[in-house]
Amino acid sequence: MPGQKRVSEDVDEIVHPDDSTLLTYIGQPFPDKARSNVRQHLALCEPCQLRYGELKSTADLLTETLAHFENAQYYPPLTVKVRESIQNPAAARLVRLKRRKERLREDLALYPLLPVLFLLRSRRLKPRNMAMASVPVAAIPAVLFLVLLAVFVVLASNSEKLKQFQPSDVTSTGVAQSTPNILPHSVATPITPITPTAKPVKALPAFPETTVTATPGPPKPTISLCSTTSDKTQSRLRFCGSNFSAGDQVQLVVTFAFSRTRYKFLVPVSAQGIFQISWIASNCKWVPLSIYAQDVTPGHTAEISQILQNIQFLNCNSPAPTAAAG
Amino acid sequence: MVMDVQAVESLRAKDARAFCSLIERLQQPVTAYLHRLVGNREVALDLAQDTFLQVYKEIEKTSPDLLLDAWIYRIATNYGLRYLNRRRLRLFVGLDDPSCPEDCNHHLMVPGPESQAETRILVHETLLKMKPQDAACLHLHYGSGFTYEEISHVLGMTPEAVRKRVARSVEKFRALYEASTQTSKEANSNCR
Repeated sequence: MPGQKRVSEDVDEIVHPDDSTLLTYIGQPFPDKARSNVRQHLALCEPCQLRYGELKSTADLLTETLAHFENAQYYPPLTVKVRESIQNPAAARLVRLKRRKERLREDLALYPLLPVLFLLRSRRLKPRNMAMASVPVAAIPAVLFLVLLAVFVVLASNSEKLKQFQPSDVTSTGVAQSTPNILPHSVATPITPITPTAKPVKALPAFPETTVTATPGPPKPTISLCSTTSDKTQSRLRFCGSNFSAGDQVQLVVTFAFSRTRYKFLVPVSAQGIFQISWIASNCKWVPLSIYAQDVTPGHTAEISQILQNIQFLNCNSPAPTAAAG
Repeated sequence: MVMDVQAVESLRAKDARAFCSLIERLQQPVTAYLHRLVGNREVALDLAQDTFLQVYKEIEKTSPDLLLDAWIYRIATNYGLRYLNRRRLRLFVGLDDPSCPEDCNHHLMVPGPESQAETRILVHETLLKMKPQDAACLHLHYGSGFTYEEISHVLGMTPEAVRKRVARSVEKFRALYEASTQTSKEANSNCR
């Protein structure tokens, strides 16, 4: 059995199972003899028991979280898109060429600049005075030259070099089923851009029956903080959405101050066109910086609520949103 | 991970039905794996699509005793790691704005923001902070349920090397996760 050699306090040399052995013991096929050896050792060795406990809890945490993530995801079927790409290789080739062109353009812009940026970064790490003193004057023309070279290469590649890779006539390939164009997923299912200019709404009615709108036409989807008193005693944040299409799927996009990540939560809309979502704000960092709801039901118009900001909950004030928060 | 010689043969013969059933069987787990790895749903869907196209294109060049699933996950992993490396480069150069609203590559779908939301968010953030190769190991083992033997086929390493890498990655994850929870506790004490 592979293991670490450690000298125990009573000076006897004992071979303890190492982390990889313990992890194998936790969740991998393991020969019976080796398994019983580890079990016997764990029964006697207290530090190993502690280590085993730590590794077991980490492994369980990872398994539970990642399994939950996978079970809760739904992805649109790829079969049709892949089949289209196969049946219409010209269109698929165009997409590939477009991506390759983008990558090449990026690379041409990136790589000449890398040494310069690396130099600048490393200078930035030093104390300011020392960095300024040690910048050679001769480096400035070199930097300018490299930048100009990069710009030139990018422009040249855009105008001429890459055009020759494109097929002159896509329809002349004799493909029986011609699909106009195969777009990558991110293009095919665009997310309606949210302008950060939407004004914050402090208190909005939680349910549609309490909403009174003077404007004609269907009322706009709204979202509001609707924690009740009992919620507040449990530090529970509750958000209510209204005026969405009944039975649809709404995606809640939440930004927290501590992270640049924009978290998305899927919630179903009830027959009344409303939804509720709640979570425990165990501390102030879980009070969102901004939150909005977006209808993501396939084939439906992407209805979007207003962006809720400046959320005040218990003693927490969500900080003023910045550009980073979107 | 079984060796399905007949399925591989059908695929090598460019049988459309076999290919469709392959996509139907593997689309969800492969896309979920890529989604966890790159942290962006749309990118994961694109990469999954590229993966299956690559499978269709390259299956002829493989041998009949191919371990099909491991091979597909290997292609997916290569696409995912290549994407993450490019993204790291773009972030370093400053071309990618990590705070960009829709195109930033940290979108996560964390379901059920109830009692365990905090933990789940921290786990995903910690995995995204890790080295992509280490994170891939953990995703394959704990997320996709692959054994060390199977991961060794996916990553092109020996099972022993995978065993060591998983142990190292778990330790790195534990350290980063504990640091994150510590920060969270400090934020808590500052707020209240």
